[in-house]
Amino acid sequence: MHEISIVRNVFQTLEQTYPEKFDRIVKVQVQAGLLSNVQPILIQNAFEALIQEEPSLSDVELEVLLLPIIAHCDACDKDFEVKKHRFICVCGLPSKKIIQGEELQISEVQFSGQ
Amino acid sequence: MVRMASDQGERKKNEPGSHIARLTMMREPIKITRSLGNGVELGQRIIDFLEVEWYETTKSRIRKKTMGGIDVLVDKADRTTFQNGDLLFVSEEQAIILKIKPCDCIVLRPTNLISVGIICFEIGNKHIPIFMTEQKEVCVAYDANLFVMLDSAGFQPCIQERILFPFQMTKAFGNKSMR
Repeated sequence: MHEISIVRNVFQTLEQTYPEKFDRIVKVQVQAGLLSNVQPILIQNAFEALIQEEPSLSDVELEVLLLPIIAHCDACDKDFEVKKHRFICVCGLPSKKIIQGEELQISEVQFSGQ
Repeated sequence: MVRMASDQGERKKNEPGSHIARLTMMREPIKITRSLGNGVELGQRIIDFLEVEWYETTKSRIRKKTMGGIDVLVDKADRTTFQNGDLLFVSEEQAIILKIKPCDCIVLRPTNLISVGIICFEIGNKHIPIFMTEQKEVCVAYDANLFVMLDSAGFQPCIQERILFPFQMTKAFGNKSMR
């Protein structure tokens, strides 16, 4: 529901980080964890809407990469992937100690050579 | 604020040694501007697939490799949505077809029309598209918070790996363009 502002924020961050070569960006990858409350389809649609507003972004590809949920089991002292919403380690003990899955971050930026 | 990942990789296209530079030197990407149809007879051509996530079918620009390793650039002339099985490229020898990757989905099997209404209202409130299957199921891409909400409301959601077909998609607005 707040995806438009997220997408705007992504490009504001990039403009601040790369003021000299912001206009040479060809691809931006954003990682969104499955616990981040962000739906990739809404991010993509928000970006398509932003392109209508900012045609200069039409040559940019925005890729959203979903990150699986990783939790930590204190008993085993190991990380495990949460599959099918089962926060249970292979040892059988439940854990809600989240290691990965709540992120929303810019993970990669590609620039054109020109 | 969306932060930059600390190990954020910055790549320069055409920079020696970069992934993209190597591919560009080998071959320009095949440019795809629209679907050439679905269920087209392809004879003896070699079939290659461009795999995308379900939520990428609406994207106007995609740069990816096919499963056979061919670099393609999707640059849609209009804002149409690709469907699973769409023919994207065809030559005398080969064809490239779009393939939607399966993903974890929340599957709901409402028993009456009131439940359908409540479920779709709750999901629609989050602006998340739903997928109505021929088996009268309501499918939605897995989202941990949504799963908890539906489970606690007693809708008995289950998680299954499915392909979310865009033609089954219903969302809060703009459904006409999806079909």
